[in-house]
This record gives sequence, structure tokens and C-alpha cells, in this order.
Amino acid sequence: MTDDGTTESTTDDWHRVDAPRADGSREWEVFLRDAPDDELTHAGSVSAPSADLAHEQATTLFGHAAATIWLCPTDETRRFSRRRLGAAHDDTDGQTPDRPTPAGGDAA
Amino acid sequence: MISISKLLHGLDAEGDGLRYDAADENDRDQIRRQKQRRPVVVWNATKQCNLACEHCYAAAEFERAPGELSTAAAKGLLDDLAEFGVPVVLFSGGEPLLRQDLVELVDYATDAGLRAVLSTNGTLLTPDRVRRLQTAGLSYAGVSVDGRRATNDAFRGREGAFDAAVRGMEACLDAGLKTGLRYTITDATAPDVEGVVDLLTDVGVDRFCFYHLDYGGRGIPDADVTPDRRREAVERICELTTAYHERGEEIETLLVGNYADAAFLVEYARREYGPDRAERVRRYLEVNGGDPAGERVADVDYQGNVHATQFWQGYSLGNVRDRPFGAIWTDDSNPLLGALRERPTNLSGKCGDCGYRDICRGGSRLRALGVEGDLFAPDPQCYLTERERTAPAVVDTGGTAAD
Repeated sequence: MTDDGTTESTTDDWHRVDAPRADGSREWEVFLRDAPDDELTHAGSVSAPSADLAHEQATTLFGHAAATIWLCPTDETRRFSRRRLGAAHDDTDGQTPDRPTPAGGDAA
Repeated sequence: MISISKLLHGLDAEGDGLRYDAADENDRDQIRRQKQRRPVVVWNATKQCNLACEHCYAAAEFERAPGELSTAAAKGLLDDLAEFGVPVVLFSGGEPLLRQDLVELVDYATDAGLRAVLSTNGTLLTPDRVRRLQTAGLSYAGVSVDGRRATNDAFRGREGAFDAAVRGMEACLDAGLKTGLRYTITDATAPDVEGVVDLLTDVGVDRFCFYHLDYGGRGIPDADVTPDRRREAVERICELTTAYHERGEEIETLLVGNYADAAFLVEYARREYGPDRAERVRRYLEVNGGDPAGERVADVDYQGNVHATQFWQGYSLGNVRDRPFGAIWTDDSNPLLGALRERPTNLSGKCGDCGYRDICRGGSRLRALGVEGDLFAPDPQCYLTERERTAPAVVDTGGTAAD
């Protein structure tokens, strides 16, 4: 993985976006369909430790607007994009990858 | 964000353009027809923090979390925000001063045309760091202090945090950097409001932002004050503001995170100053636009996930590594964004027929979700009386607001 959270792809212009999106709990991509003849659309992601709880959360957020809800674990989803965030910028200075932990730090 | 000092005492301030669309001329009677079009964006630049605050919405930790945007990716995000026309980027955390590239990113943001402001616990604000941030273009530093010394240090999990934060504020003020207090109202901190304001005005602080707890991260309902105690605290802050202004000290006081405050201020103005002042307050608040979630405020977390507010970390609209911020924010196919923006027409229960739903917009949908499990349910922290909620407009009924 590169510093901008992408991996080089063998296909021209395409990059796999494999920076983590989960924060403490598992993340689930949400897909919705409003009516049987509507497209299935991506509607973001919810954080939940299990599929059942993810479904509960997604239903709470989108139950009013969806007849179909699909959930896909984010860490099982391969994301590819021609977009590379910050590609125009040099990453050789500034934020270092492994700065020290401030535990016990300097508040006092 | 609701300015008590502006609404009750006519104090103009730099941020009024974002709260009342009065940016072109700070005329207290000016009302514009259009609300702010692009959101203020909170960017949680890191999840890492040197403190362990009890109610941290970001659930920050001592360790640096995986997936943090690199310097280059962060600049790409700032490019996106500037291109979309975002007026302000708030560097937050975790503790943003733990990012070694913060000065570089503030400099980049301001060069891109963004107004860069900082939300910090203040403990890492040294005179040198402040000078470099100011040179980079930082406009404002909001420093979190929650209660007097003992209360704050217990809340933040670190003895000495209060004194370090005050030193940080002094460093900002000595450098001439606009500096304000961020203060969360909880059971523990509510009694300390007056003491902290008095202490910090002696230091030179003149801007005080009081936050109501929203239910994200470690901010859970059990930690919150009751609606009755909240109302008392808000009224005391109004009285405190008035006392300062009456003796010629023009402090700026603001309320954040509970738009029952908007209705309360109309009622307070009617009770204390009469119907004409109440009508003027109401008109300002109509332009202000009520709870801003999903519309006038947005959040991008340390991994690039976009959220409807900084407190709503459990649901992400998308990630800026995949799509530009503006594309995510204007995606009309997202039903949650639509629901947030269609308020107040979709609110239920006591919010559905509240006479103040136009200036409150149902308050926090996150609190409604957290307590009721219903996106459209009433905000459990609304503290208005039934009589206030059923008031159709600002008229002098001859009664008192708190009947």
C-alpha cells in the first residue's frame, strides 16, 4: 500500500483503494433499492460488530426509504478507482508514518 | 451555533456570516434571504490524543490509529474542500497538534482559500507552535476546558490538563490569535460555568462556546444532564452574558448542539425585553436555519470517511479516497441526507407540530436515534414546555415563558 492509501493495479489508471475504513468496529457497505424496478445504489456504510446489528442500524437509517437492503463487509469489498487522493502532492515530508505515542504525555 | 451575545445584545462577531448570513455587513438588523450554501467541514485530522476525555465523540486514543490520511492525501482533501467552496475547515481530532504536519496543512488550506480554525485541548500550544500556526494563517483556536481545575482534570483523565490548557490559551492571546473556550455541558461541568468564564475573562478570553452533549463515541446518554438542568444552565449562561454586557465587557457567548436553545432564546427575549426583540431574534434564527446536520456542517474523519456531523461517526456517507467530498455531499440518491435536509416536514411526535420546528428542525437526529431508535422521533433533550412548543408565533400573550 502506498502513502495515499492505494495499491498499484496491473490495469492502467486503476488503483485499488485499500486504506482501512473501519474504526474499532467492523464496517458494512450499505446498498439500497427503493422499488423492485429501481437500481441498487450504494448509500455509505455503517459501523457494527455483526451483520445482524449492521442490518438493524441500516434499517433504522434507511427503512423509511428502502424495500431492499444489502450489506457487504467493507473489508471484503475490493474498491478500485481512477481517483488517487493527493496524487499531485509530494509526501516526502510532513506527517511521518510512525510518530511516537503521547501516552503519559505532556499535558502537565 | 447560536450566539447569545448577538441575539440578545447585538454583539457582532467574525463568524456571524456563517450563523446569520450577515457576512457582507455586520449590521445587526440585516436579514438575508439565503442560508449558507456550503458546509463548514470538521476534519478529524487524527484519532490520536494525549488526553482521555470521558465524553469524547471521536473515542480518541493514545495510539495512532491505522488509515490516517498522509500529508499528500490531506492536501488532496483540502483541494476538494476548496474546489467545492467550503468556507471553513476546522482542524480537530483526537488532538490535531499531534500531527507533525499541522502547520504545513494549515498553510496549505489558507493558500487554497479556506478559513482554517483549530479545535484543540490546548495542552500542546506552546508560544512557538502558536506563532508558526498564526504565520501559516490560522484564524482561530478553540480550546476545550470542561469545568474548573479539578472537574476538568478528572474529565480529561490527566492532572495538570487545566493549567496546561490555560497556558495554551495565554500563548494564543499573547500572539494576538483569536481564541475561545469550548465547554461541554454535563452533570459534572454545569455548576462550574460561571467560575470558568470569570477565570478565563481575567486571562483575556472573550469568546465562550457551550456545547450540548451529542450521543457519539464515548458521549452516551447516561452522561448527559436532564432537560430541566439543561434549561437551567442555558438560562444561567444568558444571565451571565447579560451581566457582562451590562458592565461593558462584551464577551461573546454561543450555544452549540441543541436547537431547543433557539426557541428558548426567543422566549427569553420576549420575557426579558418584549415582543419586538423576540421577533427580531426569531427572524435571525430563521436565517440561521436550525440544526445543521447534513447541511451546513459536515465531518471528514481521520480515515477520510464523510459524516453528517462530527458526532455521527457510526455512519459514513462515503470516503474521500473514493469520491471527492463535493460529490459525496451533493449525492441526492442518499436517503439519509435527503431526510436530514427535508426537515422539519418529516418530524414526528411533539416535534411534528412544534411552533418552533422551523428554527429548530428537530434538534439532534443522532440523539433521537440513540435514545428512541427512530430517525424522526423528538430530540430527547428538548426542554421546551408544551406551551412554548404550541406558540404559533411571537406574540405577547401576557404569560411567562416557563409556565
